[in-house]
Amino acid sequence: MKKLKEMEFFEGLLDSPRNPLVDEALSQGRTAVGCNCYLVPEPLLSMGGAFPVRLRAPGAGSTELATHYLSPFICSYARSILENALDGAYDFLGGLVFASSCTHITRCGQHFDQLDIHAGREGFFTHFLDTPRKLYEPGFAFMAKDLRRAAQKMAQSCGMDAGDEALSEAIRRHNAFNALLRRLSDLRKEEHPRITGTEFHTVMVASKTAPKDMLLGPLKKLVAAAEKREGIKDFRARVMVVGSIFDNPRFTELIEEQGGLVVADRYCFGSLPGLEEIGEEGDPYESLARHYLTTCECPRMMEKLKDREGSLKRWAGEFRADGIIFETMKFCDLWGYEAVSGVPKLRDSGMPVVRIEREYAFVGEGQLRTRVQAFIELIEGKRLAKALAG
Amino acid sequence: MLKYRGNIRDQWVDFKYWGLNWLAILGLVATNPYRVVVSLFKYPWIYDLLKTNNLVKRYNEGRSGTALLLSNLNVHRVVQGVVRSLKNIVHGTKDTVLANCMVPTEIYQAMDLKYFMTELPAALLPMEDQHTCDKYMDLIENNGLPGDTCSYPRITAGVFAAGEIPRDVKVLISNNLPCEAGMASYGYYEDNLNVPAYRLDIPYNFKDEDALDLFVEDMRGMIAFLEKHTGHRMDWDRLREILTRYNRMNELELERWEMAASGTPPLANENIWITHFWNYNIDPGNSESSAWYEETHKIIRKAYERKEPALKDLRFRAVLWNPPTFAYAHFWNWLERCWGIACLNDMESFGHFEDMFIDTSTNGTMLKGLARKWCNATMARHTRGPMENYLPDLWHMYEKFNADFILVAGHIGCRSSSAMTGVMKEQAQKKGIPFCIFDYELMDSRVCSHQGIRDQISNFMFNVMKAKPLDESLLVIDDDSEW
Repeated sequence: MKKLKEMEFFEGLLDSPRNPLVDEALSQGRTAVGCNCYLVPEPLLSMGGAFPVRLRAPGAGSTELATHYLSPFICSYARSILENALDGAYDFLGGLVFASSCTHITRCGQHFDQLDIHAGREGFFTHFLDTPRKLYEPGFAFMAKDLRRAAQKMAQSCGMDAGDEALSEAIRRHNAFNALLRRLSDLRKEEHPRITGTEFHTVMVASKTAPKDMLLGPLKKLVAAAEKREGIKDFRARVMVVGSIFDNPRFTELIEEQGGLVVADRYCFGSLPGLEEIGEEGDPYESLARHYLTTCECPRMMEKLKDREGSLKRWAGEFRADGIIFETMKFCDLWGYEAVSGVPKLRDSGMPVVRIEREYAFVGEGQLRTRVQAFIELIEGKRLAKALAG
Repeated sequence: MLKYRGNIRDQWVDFKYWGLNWLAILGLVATNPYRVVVSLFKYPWIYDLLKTNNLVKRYNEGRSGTALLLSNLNVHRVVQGVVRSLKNIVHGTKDTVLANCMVPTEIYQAMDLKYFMTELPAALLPMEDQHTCDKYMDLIENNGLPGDTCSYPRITAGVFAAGEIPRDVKVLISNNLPCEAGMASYGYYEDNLNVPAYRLDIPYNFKDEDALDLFVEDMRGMIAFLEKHTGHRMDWDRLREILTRYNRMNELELERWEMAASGTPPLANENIWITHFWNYNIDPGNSESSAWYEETHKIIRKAYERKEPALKDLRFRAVLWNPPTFAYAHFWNWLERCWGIACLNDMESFGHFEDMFIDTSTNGTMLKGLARKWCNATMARHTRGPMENYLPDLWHMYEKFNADFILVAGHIGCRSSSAMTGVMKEQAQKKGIPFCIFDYELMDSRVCSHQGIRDQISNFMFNVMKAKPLDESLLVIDDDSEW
């Protein structure tokens, strides 16, 4: 399939946390605010001239210094982020808002303060969101209050307005941007999708690491071009990728090189969840708290295991996935237990599932390629067996 | 068999508690022999609990006097508590609450509910026999759980997968303590049990008043849930009695610490740890715990006044950070006999302070006090929440107990504490505090053997502390296949 020329713009944003759009925004006097998890609401960090930058470590390699601090038993995403931070890769940030999402990410975030990584930077602020792990009214109110505290810190630091109207406006802009992304995402549901998994993954990662308002124009062009494009026919199986941090489209590309077309992305940096509309009525802080806690599909949420299993089955149906690649990061307890419960259930429902434990950096390519190949053959084998039986 | 201890008094103590432990176990059988036999088939891990008197023997090798008596009393108290817990499953589980190890059990007691701690087999079996849980860990790993997760919930999940945790229970109660692996494991149980479940959510920054209030709300939700599903009502007066007993225990605990901090500490090692582990964490607030605290306190006080130290030959004062070695339960005894090391406090015990007394004046203050207590409970205080919860306590403990060095049990399955190692090393070096981080796996001695633990500590003692062992024959012991 011919590559869309509009993709080049997005691809150029993934090589470094400080990408060209971030540079341009900074030169306009805007503030980049780092965040580490889906649970840090993007609209909160998009008020005034601020914009969110989800922390990534592109090209991550050795994590010697971070391993000294975090030990080798912490996931390689957390270690890579800390290593990058110690190397000064996030020095352009004006502040950080972390979520107490999981132990690894939390401990990593705490080291930013402990090691004074941004010491001496005028106006730099950090805030740890105390994000509840269950859905209940007092929890929503508690998180809303915490979001207000974070906003006040941002306001003091960046000299911006963190009032309700400013946040409502940020939510409206966020919703409009996501509506456009949803159009692109929906192309993956078609019998012959008009966008590859690698392309969509690239756009998703770019949208979380660059100012969205500056992406709007290029995204409109991309959506228009993709909608005019012919559907993809030369693939062997449609797959859904499920798991934790997955911010390197090279992984998706590897899957697609083996003939698997990634049509659904239920992982951190993916769109399931992530593109849903946030309520624009009522208290915007409460609306954000409710939205992000309710839509979060991470196994850190204690009471939603059955819902998560249901969501996977629903998405597999909507996106017509033939199989699921369940990728878990080494040392991630949450996804480790999720797999023990979830994988057998999915297999029992007739869905082929392969479980892959991986590192954050793009390593072990040969092994990964072999396992994906075998999985695609398994899906094809099942399809053939079904056809013969039918 | 019981070995002669060299004097009649110690021999009598040994014999008395050996007999009392067996009597307590037989007492369980006597309640309903048929159901006990059935339970032995349903929950075969109960057999391993019969190794308890051997554990006492391992704890007390070479000990005499107060230390020997206290150790016997401690274990006997645990035996009584375990027997009581077992009754809640042996005599049928239809009314039993299956619960996580760190849910405020005072509430069940106040509601007069039968409860069983899901983690009880995992908490006890590796102490009785280092290899008895290998089969459970292997089973759950074969079911897809990564072998690098903490072995405490991993064993529990294995026992569950083997079908040896009661399933026909009334309700399931859990929370997000002590760690993420523990929390995540409950998704697996909940998914397989099909009984109503309630999850308590302990906030991240529990020193914040808003967060604490949120937890109080959550506990109210749990009480309402239990009332709805069990038919039992909350008895606030009973809760007040329980918490009044807890306050008294807390008072005694703080006095114990003062005595342990003295030049002649009358208690050390597992006599500090096991007391707290059982009476504060697993079985808190009941009248037995409280009576036991009073009884042992008198003994400790007398030893303190006589200036009788816990160790005959006390060479080094230490504090232990991170959870102790469950798969090497009698590790403390080796510390004593090989190097003369007395651990005068440990992370699992060190969390309850002067501000942990509970105001029992109203229902609201009781719940808030309980919330604060459990947020600061074993593991919870240090291995989660802001980083400031972890290290300042360690330095404070080191100074308070006038320790010569810090032993850090580097449990490789504990993400939260592993992630603090680098900063801890740097701060300890800056403060000039000698410390030894020995790597091990909490409940899996196949990852790091007993000898592996001993070697790491001995290397530290030789090279950093420049010490000579009290007994060189204990430097290398072939105990890989022993209990």
